[in-house]
Amino acid sequence: MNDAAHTGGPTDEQSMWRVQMLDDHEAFALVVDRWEHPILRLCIRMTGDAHRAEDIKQETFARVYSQRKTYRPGGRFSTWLWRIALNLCHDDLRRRRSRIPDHPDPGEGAPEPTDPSTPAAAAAEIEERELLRRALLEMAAETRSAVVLRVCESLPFREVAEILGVPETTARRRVAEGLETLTRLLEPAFATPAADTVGGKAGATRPANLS
Amino acid sequence: MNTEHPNSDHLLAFVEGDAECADPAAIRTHLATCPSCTARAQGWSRTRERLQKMGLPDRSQKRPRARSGGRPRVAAVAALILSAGFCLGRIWRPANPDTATLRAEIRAQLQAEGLSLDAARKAFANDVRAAVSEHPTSNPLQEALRNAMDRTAAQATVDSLREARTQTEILAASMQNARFGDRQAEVGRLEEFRRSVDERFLNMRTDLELLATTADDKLRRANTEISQLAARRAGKP
Repeated sequence: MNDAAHTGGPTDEQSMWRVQMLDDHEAFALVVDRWEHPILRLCIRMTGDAHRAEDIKQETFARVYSQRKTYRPGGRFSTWLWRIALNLCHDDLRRRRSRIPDHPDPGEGAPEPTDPSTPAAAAAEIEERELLRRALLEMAAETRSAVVLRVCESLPFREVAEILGVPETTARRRVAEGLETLTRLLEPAFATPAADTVGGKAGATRPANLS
Repeated sequence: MNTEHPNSDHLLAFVEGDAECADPAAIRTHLATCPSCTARAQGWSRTRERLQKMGLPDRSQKRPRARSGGRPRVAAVAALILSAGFCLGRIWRPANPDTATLRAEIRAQLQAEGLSLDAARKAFANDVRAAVSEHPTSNPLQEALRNAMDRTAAQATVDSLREARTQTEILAASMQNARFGDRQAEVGRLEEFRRSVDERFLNMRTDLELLATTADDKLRRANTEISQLAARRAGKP
């Protein structure tokens, strides 16, 4: 998220240096402003619950501030931040493992359609998101972390491996395993389009290289 | 199917359109002839796309309240039990002692023993005095009074010792603080002195530089005058 070069503002590392050395609240606000949405996305996908994710996001930034002196400016700030958020998600999942609801209440982080053109489309969208949410929760937390970081957050494998503290090959293997599991869980639930074949008019669902 | 199945890493790189994919042409050729790998790649691709499109839940909804359906019921039952206990306590509480009756009973008892109230008071005062005195006691009441007073005195001594210790600690802490304050003040004074010395040194240096410059000018002027005089004298016959 170091878009500072484009916006002309300080980089995350520069802001964090100010937070670390000068307890600069404005610099910290800048960091939070840049990162709160990505961290919330990660937490939602990891926990499957928007409200818990909100709590974890806040705890993440609280921890970043309380542990600001331990941040090593040599490393990427984003890696450090993702790791804190992921650890908190894992802690939360461990605590609540036995309490993950099979059917969440509508108010308990249930997905809402972003642009429902018709009630049927809205219902289908909600159903699809719920299927995805539950499929993600079916996977082991380590695999889910790898998939979320790589596929949803589009991080390079090198950074995913660094965040997870594993070799890059392990990170690649976990993403492949995760995609395999998710596909196995999701494919029966979704109707596969007939034209979706190699060389056919697969449209948006074809692999990037299958053109 | 004329090629080997690509492993997961290679297939993933291919599906992601990764520029570092080992040999995309070979994988594409393989996929054209292998339905199972094609289905796998397409499945992964669809899953990736679904995940990337997956929106976030609406967070504007109210946070669900903790599941506390039984709590109001428990609270109501507890309140009921407490109220019942309070009411029963009020009903069956023991009556206040009737001091007038007691006094009358004691007076009657004293009269029966042939004593007046004043005499009894005097006897009790004597007992207290005897308990306070150094003399050995024979009366059980005096003994009990003496023991009670000894206990009270011992407790008072312990309390006062504890209080004295606390006060001493407070005093020590204040002295320590005062010493620290003195040290700080001393350091401040030394710092002030050092600053003034530095300032004086700077002033002196400036003065000396000024003096040197002035002296240099005067010397130069004197030299010029000497040269002029010498030239004039040399010009005269």
